[in-house]
Amino acid sequence: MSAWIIETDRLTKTVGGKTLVDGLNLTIGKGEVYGFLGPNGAGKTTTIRMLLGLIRPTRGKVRLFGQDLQRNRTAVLRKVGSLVEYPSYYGHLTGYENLEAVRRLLDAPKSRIDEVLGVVRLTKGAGRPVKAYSLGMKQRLGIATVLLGKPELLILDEPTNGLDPAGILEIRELIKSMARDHGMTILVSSHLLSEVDQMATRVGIIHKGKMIFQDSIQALRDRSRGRISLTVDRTEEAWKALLGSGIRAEAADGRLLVESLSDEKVAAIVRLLVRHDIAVYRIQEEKRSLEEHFLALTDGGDSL
Amino acid sequence: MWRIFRSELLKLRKSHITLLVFVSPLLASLLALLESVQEEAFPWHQLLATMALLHGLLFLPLLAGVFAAFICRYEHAGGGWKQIFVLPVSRTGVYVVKFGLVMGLLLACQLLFLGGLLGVGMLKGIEAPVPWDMLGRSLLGGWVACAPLAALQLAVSTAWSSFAAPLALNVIFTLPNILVINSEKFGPWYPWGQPVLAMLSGAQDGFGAFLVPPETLLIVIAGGFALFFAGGLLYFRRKAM
Ligand SMILES: Nc1ncnc2c1ncn2[C@@H]1O[C@H](COP(=O)(O)OP(=O)(O)OP(=O)(O)O)[C@@H](O)[C@H]1O
Ligand SMILES: [Mg+2]
Repeated sequence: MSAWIIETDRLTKTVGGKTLVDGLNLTIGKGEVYGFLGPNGAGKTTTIRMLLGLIRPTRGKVRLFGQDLQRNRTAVLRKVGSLVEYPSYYGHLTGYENLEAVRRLLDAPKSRIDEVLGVVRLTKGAGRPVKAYSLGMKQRLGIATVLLGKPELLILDEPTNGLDPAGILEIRELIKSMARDHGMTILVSSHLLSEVDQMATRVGIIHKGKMIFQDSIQALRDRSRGRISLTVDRTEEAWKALLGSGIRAEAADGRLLVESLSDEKVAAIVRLLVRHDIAVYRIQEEKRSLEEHFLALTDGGDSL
Repeated sequence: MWRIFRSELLKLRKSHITLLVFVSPLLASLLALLESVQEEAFPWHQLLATMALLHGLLFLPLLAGVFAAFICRYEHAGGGWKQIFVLPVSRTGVYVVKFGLVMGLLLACQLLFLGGLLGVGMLKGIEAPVPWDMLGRSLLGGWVACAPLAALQLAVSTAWSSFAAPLALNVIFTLPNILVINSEKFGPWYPWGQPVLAMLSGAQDGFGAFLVPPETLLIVIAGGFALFFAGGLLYFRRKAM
C-alpha cells in the first residue's frame, strides 16, 4: 500500500496518433495542495479526465487512495469532489435544485445544501434558475456541488476560470482553508503559476503531455533564484579564468552570467578577476520571477 | 438505483416535457368524438381501432423519440453527463433509470389514452360492457412494442450530443409507417411500426382477422429490444466524456 492519495503509473493518452498525455507519473500525498501547471493545451484536462475515469487511458494506471480506479471506481469516487473544465449544471433547475439533484445521488443529508451554499456565498441566488446565472455564479455553484459529499480529495480544473479578481481571491482562500481546516488533499490545475504559487505545497508542470517538473514549490523557487551578471572588459578571458577555478559562467553580449551564489562566492569571483587584471565594471543580481522561470521551462508556453 | 431514480425524477418533473403525455390521448379522443356513431356489433373495438390508429401509428413512435431525446437533453446541454460520471453511481444504473423513465412516460400516455377512450365511449352512450381484456391487451401490447424503439432512440440520443438530430431521425422513420405496416413481410420488423401493430392486433381480435400472429410480433419485439438496449448500454458504458 502506498501513501499516495493520487498515483499514476506511466499514464498515457493517445488520440488519433497524437499523444496528448505521455507517460505521466503523478504523485500527490495526503494533505497536499498540488498545483498542476501547464500552458494551454498541455494536457491538464486530459490528465484530470483520466484521473476521474471520464476517459480511459491508452496505457498506464491510476490509483486513488491506493486503489485501482478502474476496479473500484464508485467506492473511490465517493471520496472525491471534482470540477472539470467548466461547471456542469441543469439550466432549467434553480441552484438549490441543482444541488438537490446531486445530493440525491450522493445520499447526503439535506442540511448539507445550505451549508455548501453558505461556504461559496450563493445563498441569495439559490432560488433562481441557473440559466440566468453569471459565469461566476455557475462557478460557485460548481464548487458548492463539489463540496456536497464532504470529499477527502478535491480535483479542480481551473476553478477560478471566469471569476473576477475578488472571486479568484475568495476561491483561493477557500481552497487554502479546505486543506488547512478540513485536511483535504487538493489538486488544482492552472496555466498561471502565480495562481497556485500562494497555496500549493507541491507543483507538477506538464508540457506537451510530459511532466517536466514535479517537486515542492520550494524546490521550484530555489531553481528560479536570480543570477549574477558581471560586466567586464575582456569577457572571454574572464570566462576562462572562472572556468579555471571551476565556475561555469554563461557569456552573453559582453556580460558573464553565473547562477546565484552566496556572498562569499561572489567576493571570491571578484578577487579572481582582479588577480587576472580584468576590469570589473558592474556586478548585478538579476532576479527572475517564478513565472519567468516557469515560462522558460515551457518555452514561453508555445505548445498549442 | 433508487438514488438515481429520485435524482432523475427531480430533473424531469421540472421540465415541461411531461405535458406532452396528454397530447396524443386528447387528440385521439377529440377525433373519435367527431366521428359519427354507427351501429356496430363491437362498438368498443371500433372505437379503439379509430383512436389507436392515429395514436399508435404516429404519436406513440414520435413520443418515444421525444422522451428519449429530452431525457438526455439537459445532460448534453449543461455538461450533466460529466457531473454524473464523476459521482459514485454506475453508468449502467443511469442508463437503466433513463430508459425506465422513458417507458414510464409512455405508460402514462397509454393510461391517459385508456381514460380518453372510456370517456368517449360514455359520451357516445355505448352500452355494451367494456371489454377490459381486449383493451388491456391492446394498450399493454402497444406499450411493450414501444420498448425496442425507445431503446434505439435512447441509444442514439445518448450518442449524439444534438437534441434535434435524433428527433429528425425519428420523424423520418415514423412518417413511412403507414406504408410499411401494410407489408406483411416487413411490417413486424419495423420498430416504428410495432406499436400500432401491437395495438391493433389486440383490437382486431374481435374481428377474427389480423395481419401478424401476436407471438411472432412479440418475439421480434423482444429480440429488437434486447439488441438495441444492449448495444446502447455497451456504448454508454465506454463513452468518453
Ligand atoms: N478528444 C480529443 N481528440 C483530439 N484531441 C484532443 C481531444 N481532447 C483534447 N485534445 C487535445 O489535447 C491537447 C491537450 O488538451 P487539454 O484540454 O488536456 O489541455 P489543457 O492543459 O487542459 O489546456 P487548457 O489550459 O487550455 O485547458 C490539446 O491540444 C487538445 O487539442
Ligand atoms: Mg484544460
